[in-house]
Amino acid sequence: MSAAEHPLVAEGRRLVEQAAAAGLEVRLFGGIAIWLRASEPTREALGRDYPDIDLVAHQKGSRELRDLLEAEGYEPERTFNATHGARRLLFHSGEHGHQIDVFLDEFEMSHKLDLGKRLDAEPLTLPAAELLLAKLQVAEINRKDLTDAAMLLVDHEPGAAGGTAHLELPRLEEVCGTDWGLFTTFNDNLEALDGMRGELPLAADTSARLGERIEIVRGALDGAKKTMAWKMRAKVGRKVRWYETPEEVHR
Amino acid sequence: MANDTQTSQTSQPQLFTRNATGLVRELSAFDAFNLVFSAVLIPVGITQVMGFAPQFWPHANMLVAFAIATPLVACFGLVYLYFTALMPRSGGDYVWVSRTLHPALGFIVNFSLTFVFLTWVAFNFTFMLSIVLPALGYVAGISGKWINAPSNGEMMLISTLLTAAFAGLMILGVRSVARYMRITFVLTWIGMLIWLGLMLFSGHSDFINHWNSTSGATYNGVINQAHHLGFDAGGSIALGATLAAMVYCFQVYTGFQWTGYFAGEVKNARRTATTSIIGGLIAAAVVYMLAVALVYKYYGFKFFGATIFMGLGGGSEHWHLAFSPYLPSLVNFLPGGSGILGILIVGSFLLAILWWTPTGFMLGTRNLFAWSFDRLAPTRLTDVSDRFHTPVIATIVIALVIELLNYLNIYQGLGAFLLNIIAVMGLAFIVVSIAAALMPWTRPQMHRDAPGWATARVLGVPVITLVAGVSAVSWAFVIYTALHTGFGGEVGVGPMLKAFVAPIIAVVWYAGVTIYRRSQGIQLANTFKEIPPE
Repeated sequence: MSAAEHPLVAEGRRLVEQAAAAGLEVRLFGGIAIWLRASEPTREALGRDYPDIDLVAHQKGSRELRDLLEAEGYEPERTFNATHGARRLLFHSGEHGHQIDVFLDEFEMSHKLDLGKRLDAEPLTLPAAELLLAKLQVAEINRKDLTDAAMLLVDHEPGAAGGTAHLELPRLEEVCGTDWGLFTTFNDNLEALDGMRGELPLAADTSARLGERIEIVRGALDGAKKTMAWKMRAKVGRKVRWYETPEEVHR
Repeated sequence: MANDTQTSQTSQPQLFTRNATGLVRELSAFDAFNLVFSAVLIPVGITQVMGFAPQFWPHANMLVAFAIATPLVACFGLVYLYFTALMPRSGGDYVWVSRTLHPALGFIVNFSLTFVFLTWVAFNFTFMLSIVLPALGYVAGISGKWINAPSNGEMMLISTLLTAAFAGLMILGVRSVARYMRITFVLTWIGMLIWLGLMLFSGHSDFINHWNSTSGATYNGVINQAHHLGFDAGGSIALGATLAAMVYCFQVYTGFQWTGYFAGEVKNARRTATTSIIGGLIAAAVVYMLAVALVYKYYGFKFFGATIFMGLGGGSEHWHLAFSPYLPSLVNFLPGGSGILGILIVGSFLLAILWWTPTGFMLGTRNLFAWSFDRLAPTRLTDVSDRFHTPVIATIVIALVIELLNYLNIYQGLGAFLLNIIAVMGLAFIVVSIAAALMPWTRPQMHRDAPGWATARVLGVPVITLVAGVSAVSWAFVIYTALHTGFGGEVGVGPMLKAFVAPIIAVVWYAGVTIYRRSQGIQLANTFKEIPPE
């Protein structure tokens, strides 16, 4: 554990461990998960403030997870959970003022991702491929998301295999090869990230490495096998909007 | 704010800001429109307007009534649009009034409206079984007691089965509900458009020929007999009667403004509210006025009034035809109306009731959530089922309330108090309108975030205050008409007490819960300082 570990990173890790002890498959997701997977120099260069904890769990065990979070002192957002509880749960910490977002099997923002079947791939966080997909599927992307994506790519070698420090290209190819909209947004954001490289506080060799990896991922996606639905949608192109615009949950 | 992203000034390409993980809500703009448009329930509304109004005001011209009522109802719609844009929260007027006027008032208003709207579910089941189903049997040439005149037991059984089936649908979740409603919308409106088209492209003489050859009576015979019995729909339009008959327009329009109740689940609720509320009203106004005009054109104003008088009003003792002259039965006298086309059209009148019912359920459960959030109802109501991941307990509670209303309607004559119930609804809407009218002063900061049309001023008065004033006066007129004409229900202390049982229960409930929560050390007043999460 890093000495500079953000309190919410520690809390996120603790919650995953508590859930595992209770027999629940829960994984960290989002910025905190990326921070946990990053090397110390990358954390120092690109780490940021983390205002909330994102978790992914199975829909099937949502009751147990809700009980666990409540037992840990988190206050459920009851109306929100009643209306969106089939795919999303929201909790608040009175103590630290942070919020916990729980995604149940699926993740839906600008595009939809099926995360449930990748929950058991690694012990603490979702695999790097899912984390990158979640970051770069945002159609109206912000600097924070791009910085997180850079953080991930700097420390994960794209290749055939997944696991620590590896970015599983076949997974990206599979997901983007079936969904033209996701492919398009993902590629746009890779391009945006490449354009932003110079602004990131990275050493020259690290920045170059990031650039190479962006190219590797783009090349892999371009060469990936595409489904018939992908090709049909590609014919329509950008004339029809290909993404959703998520809203923030106001409290 | 719904427009939660904005351009960053510092980087290229275009970047946005977002504070937390976003949410894609379940209901699209069309789903939101479909919910409120289904609540307007035009097939039933037009049947009731054209079936009831001529009984009481033979000289009332419903086309004129709709034309006058529409801008007044639009003012009422703007009140709901204003609040939905400012506070798009599940529970709608409960949240708005409780946070701007007084918590107790918010609860009483919303509890009463929830009661009124849930009675509609029960009323419509009965309406479907006692009026539309016999019409379908008539047009299809099917006879049988259960279809022509179902007993109370049969109506209760079918209503119970429908209530259970819709509870089941709700338990499957809002996505399933939205899908179901899209399908039923299409099917219902295919039939309705054919109906309107047949009336549009056929002449009054076609009707006379069909009527004379298939009804068992003659066109002139009906008019003459009605006239002989004292009915006269001839002469000029009576403005007083037309204005009074607007009470039906207000009743049948209600529902178009409901977006606020579901706002927590609607994508970009602030923007969608405009398209669904204003779009819902415009669509409803166009269809209602077109339908009324076509009914008058095809059947004839004088004949239509006479046949309603003979079949449903004062002359009904002398009515010996095999059908009641509600619009669905009169489909039989359209070109092709006695065949498959007629069955399709009347089937769409019937399906419309099944189209709208989930909206009633959803309104009930979402209002329960809002009460539960404020601890006015047990927190268990928002529990999500382990199996279905939807709020099963709240759904079952609403189903049980509807089942009770089914019983009260079928066996205890709840429908007899319909107009007194409209008075309850009108009073609640007046309170909501007053809350909106006062917003520039009670919540000035929030009012500043309102849409431009609402914050604009005319002679120094905010537009929202003006339109809310018109809305309040319009509903006061509805109450006055309901209580001073007695055209649809008894007016008196007993009936009024029965009709006002909902607000009375709400007062007792609120007082009881306040005392109970205080005994738990919870000050409810503190709850209402906060606006629920979006």
